[in-house]
Amino acid sequence: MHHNRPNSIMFVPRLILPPFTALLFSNMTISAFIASIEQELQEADHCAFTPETVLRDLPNWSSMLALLLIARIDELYGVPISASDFASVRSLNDLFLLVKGHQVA
Amino acid sequence: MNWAQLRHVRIEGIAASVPAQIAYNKDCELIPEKERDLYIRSTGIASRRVASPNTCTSDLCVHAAQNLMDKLGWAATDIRIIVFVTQTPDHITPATAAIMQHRLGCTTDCAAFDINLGCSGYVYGLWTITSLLQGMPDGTKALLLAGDISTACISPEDRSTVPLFSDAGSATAIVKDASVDNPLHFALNTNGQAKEVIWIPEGGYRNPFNQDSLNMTVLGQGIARRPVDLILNGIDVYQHAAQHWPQQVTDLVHQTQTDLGKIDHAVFHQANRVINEMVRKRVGLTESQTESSLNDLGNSGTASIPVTIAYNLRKSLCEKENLLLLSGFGVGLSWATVISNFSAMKHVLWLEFAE
Repeated sequence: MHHNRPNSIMFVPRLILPPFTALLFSNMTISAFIASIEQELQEADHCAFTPETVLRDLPNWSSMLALLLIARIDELYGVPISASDFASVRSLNDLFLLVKGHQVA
Repeated sequence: MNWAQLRHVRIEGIAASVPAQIAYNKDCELIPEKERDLYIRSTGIASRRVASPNTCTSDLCVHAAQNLMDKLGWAATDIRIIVFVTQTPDHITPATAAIMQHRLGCTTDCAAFDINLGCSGYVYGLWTITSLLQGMPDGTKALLLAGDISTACISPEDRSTVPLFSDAGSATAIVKDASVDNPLHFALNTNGQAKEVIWIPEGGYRNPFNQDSLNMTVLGQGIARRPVDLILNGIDVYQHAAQHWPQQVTDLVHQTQTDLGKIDHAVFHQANRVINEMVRKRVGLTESQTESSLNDLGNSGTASIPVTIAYNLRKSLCEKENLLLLSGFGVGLSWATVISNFSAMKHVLWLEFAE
């Protein structure tokens, strides 16, 4: 996208990354990860969430919540998750590992 | 960045026309009752406009164009270019622009064609007409007609599309004026690799309409559709939009050395609140700079930018010159942004189409 910029008048910086992206995700614990998406999870159920919590089993789980969760994770960690990646996510731990894998890559 | 800089055109007016019939998402039975409140809060869409089965996109666009031309004192016989941007033409063939050339009463001295684009299409249409006018005499008049009746190309039993889409048509009156020195800056991008993120599988010539094309398949709770219905993968739209849309806008802002704080109004395609807020925040625009019509008018596809202009800005665009940022992202996938100082328009009209 940045090749052949005609009449380029100045250096065009990439977008400034979302605030949390700069954090080393590898140091983040799963409990901190769950806490960071607590607001969205609360829409699905008012319970204590664990790494084993299965998203689709939550009483108020919906496709809209999936989108909200994906948008929140993208905002916090700079990781936009695709539909096929998300389809393989069952538990919160799966989601944690998916985000972690994307960040390393 | 793929960009263009063009001058010598003036937008005299914009009109949007929506069907009078309103559908409310609080009554949408495809969404379980307990989820509706979250759905409305998240998408930002409370109500939508729905065309009757007898109304086509051309009816809404002709309504908008006739009213606008009337106010501007434009004679149909003076129109030399009609560009129609839509996902929902009246027929597969011929071009709906030709049908509207006749309906509007234009002479045969008129170039008219369709562009098959959606949410990015209004900006592509502005770029096309502005480019075409460069080689035409001063004073040449052109109409950009942009609209969709998306409610006609989706399954009525699909919760992933029904509560989002709204119908609308629009007309933008553009004139060649060599004395206008304000440039329009465009950025234009495409990614056809992601063509199946928003698409209709059957009914064209790759996968022709066949005896099974009207078979409804249940794909989940609240999601059943036929192969001729629009598929919209909301998560993948978000993913692609997050990766590319704010970047294009930011690149054009830097390229043009635009001071974000000086933008009077930013009008993005109205996708849904989740996507629109993501773009607004990443580009760095304030809420008060950024226009939204999602609550009342949902996602009106190709028409959503002129619809939002006509609904929110019909007064301010006529009062003074405005630095505007207009930007759309969607089907193709295709995305486009324009930044320009638009001189005060003569008329911006908001219309309801009585069916």
